[in-house]
Amino acid sequence: MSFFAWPYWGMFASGLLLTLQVSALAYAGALVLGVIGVMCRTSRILPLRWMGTAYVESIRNVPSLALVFIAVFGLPQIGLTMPLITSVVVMLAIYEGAFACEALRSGINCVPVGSAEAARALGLSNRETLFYVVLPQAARSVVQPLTNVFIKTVINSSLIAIVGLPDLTGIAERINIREAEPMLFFGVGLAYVAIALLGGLLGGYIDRKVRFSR
Amino acid sequence: MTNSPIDRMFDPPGPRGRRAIRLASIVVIALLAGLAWLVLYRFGKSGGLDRQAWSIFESPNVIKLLGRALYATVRAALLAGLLALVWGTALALMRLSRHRWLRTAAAAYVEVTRSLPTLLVLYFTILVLPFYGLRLPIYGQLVLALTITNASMISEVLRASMLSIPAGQLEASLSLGLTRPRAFWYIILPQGFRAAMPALVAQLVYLLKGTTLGYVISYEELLYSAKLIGEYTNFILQSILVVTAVYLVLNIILSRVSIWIEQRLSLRGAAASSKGK
Amino acid sequence: MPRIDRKSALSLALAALAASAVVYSAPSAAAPDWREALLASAPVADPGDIPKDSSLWDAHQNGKLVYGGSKTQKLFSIENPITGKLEGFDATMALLLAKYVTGKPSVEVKIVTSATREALLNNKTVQAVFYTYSITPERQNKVDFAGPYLISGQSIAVRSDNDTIHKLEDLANRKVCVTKGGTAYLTMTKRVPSAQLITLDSSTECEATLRQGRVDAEVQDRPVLLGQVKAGGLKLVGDTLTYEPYGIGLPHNSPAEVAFVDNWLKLLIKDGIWQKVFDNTLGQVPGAGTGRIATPPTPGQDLLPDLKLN
Repeated sequence: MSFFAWPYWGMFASGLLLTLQVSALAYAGALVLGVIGVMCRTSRILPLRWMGTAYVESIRNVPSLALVFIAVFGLPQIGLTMPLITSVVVMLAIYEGAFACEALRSGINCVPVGSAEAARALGLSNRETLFYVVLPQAARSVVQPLTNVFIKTVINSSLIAIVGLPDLTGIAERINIREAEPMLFFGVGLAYVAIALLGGLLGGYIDRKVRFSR
Repeated sequence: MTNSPIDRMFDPPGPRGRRAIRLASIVVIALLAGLAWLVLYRFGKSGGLDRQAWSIFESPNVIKLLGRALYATVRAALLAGLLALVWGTALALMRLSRHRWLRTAAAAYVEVTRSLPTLLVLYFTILVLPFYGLRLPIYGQLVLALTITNASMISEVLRASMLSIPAGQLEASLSLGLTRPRAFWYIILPQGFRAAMPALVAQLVYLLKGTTLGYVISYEELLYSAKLIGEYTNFILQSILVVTAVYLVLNIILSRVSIWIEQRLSLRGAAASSKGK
Repeated sequence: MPRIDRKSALSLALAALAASAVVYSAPSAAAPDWREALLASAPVADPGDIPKDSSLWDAHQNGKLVYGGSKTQKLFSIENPITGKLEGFDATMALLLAKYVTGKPSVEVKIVTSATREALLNNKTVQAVFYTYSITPERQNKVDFAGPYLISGQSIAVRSDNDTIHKLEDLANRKVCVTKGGTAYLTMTKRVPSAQLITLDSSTECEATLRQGRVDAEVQDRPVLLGQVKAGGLKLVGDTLTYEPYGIGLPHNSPAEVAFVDNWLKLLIKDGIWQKVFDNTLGQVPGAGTGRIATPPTPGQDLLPDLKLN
């Protein structure tokens, strides 16, 4: 059987599409939640700080599979009935959002404190300091961890196979239950590695762009 | 006040500022309380807080079942952690070797397995390996899958920490006559381990969370036991919540222990270096 | 002494709370007494009848039956977390077979899945398989079946307030839940391919998604659905869709064993033991006590299913 006549191209493609969709949406959500989380954790309003810390600490210490089950069986019980894919994406975004928040926070804390103090001493307002001094420097050290969060999101998206969604891992399982197709596993593995490599390359490119040298 | 530039940016708030902050705090607390009440109310209305749903956890046999499951979880995580540590150390050393073929082989393995979901590796061990004669017991399948993916993560951590050790250490040991392998084994690696301790404990937390994949192969760890209990009582969500709480407590304790270990190690390190003076 | 900060104190308090839940105990459910009595009076085989060189002979020698089954199948084989024992139709039949072969009802359950059961049977890891195992020609190429020991079929369940679904064809383009690796998955993919399927691990999970509104219908074995309907809020629609005999999985190419187990099944049916097991497990579900499923099958005949896939 020729390479191109492999009967599983269709399923493979649809699985790849689902994985990419879920990962992209969840990552976008994670970035949003991460930004909100950082704003909470660096806020001067103490309850917001606690909330941000509670969010990050509890989500990071809980297995993602447990969260997926809570999303599938729990959300409808508090009145949030969404399609299965939506609930899974939301939960994945919440999970990765905690890690994104940590990545952003460590990036901000890496900025030398003296920069901010000097900026204020020179008369820049809070907003100006933030946008022209602190965040640009933070952006330099934030790209690499955020790329890692993306790769972790792609890896964690495989968990949706356990609730029966046909992503890359899901179709690998489904097809192999009926007949042995080890080639499919290699194909799927290759796809994941390719996505991770591309993500890494993209991250490196952005990193170089952001890393303006003085 | 933490040493973050954001904190140092703001002037300390004056009386109006303090009032504004206090007001905002009260509003936030009220909003959070309202949200929590809404969630609990909705949950209760749909029957989630019924006594019936939670009463099974009062039975001591069920607690014992959870205890056995916790033991199974920890056992799998520790064994996988140990194997991943050994294999990861070997990989890290291979990547720092002088021989290029070792370096590229290890690098290829690490780059590939780092990007693979553990679930995929697990499905591979349970669906494909048996066809080639390799049928492992359930426990072994889980540990194998966890080891394969975690070894590469550990190797990256160790490699980074070994690279961060001042180059002078290696030069000094080589000039003292140690062969390169011995220099690594006796000088660089122990320091690398010490520096990587927090990251290694974080990896253990990751492993503990990873044992939940045992659910797929009916390994009787915590999440699978939650399913067992939930199947019997028909209240799946409640048992998952209980088990999630157990994971939360376990991992938080582990993180605190890691911080404690880090403090002890840094104190001892500082004392040792001052003694040497 | 590590510094006890607020977070550590909170986690310790949580742990203490969990531990205090153990302080008082609810009375544990008694093991089904009917089962104790039934097993005490169950038949035991003459060792001369057991085919030598078979997995059942190994069971006889070892004094216990190792079989592949499940711990999470409602009504058929589910573990009671309080007593630690397996309850259900399949579980009891396995105990009866163990008593027949070894003289006492001692079993060891190995959890199998649709992917592993044939392999585990053929490489002698398990001696038999009790897993609501529908007999199909495809599976008969890989293992042998004794029985049938129960005649089942699939049905559709919907929420009580649903008026739009009355038969299988109405499921076109609707959201339906089925379990992984089951024959319901085949039925849906072959007969109603336009339905949007959600495949979960167990019938209880499917029931949860149906109740919560994630899906519009659930396709599952009828007795299981009857058990779910008992709790209210759901109803069965349509007739039984398929004719599915359940068989006991035995290693491939072992006709002597098949005959041996068939004889045992006939004995159980004749002595009324089959009926007692049925009445106390599946029969407890209202509505299951009538119809095809409640009649004892004829082991050795009517082996082929009718999945109506064409």
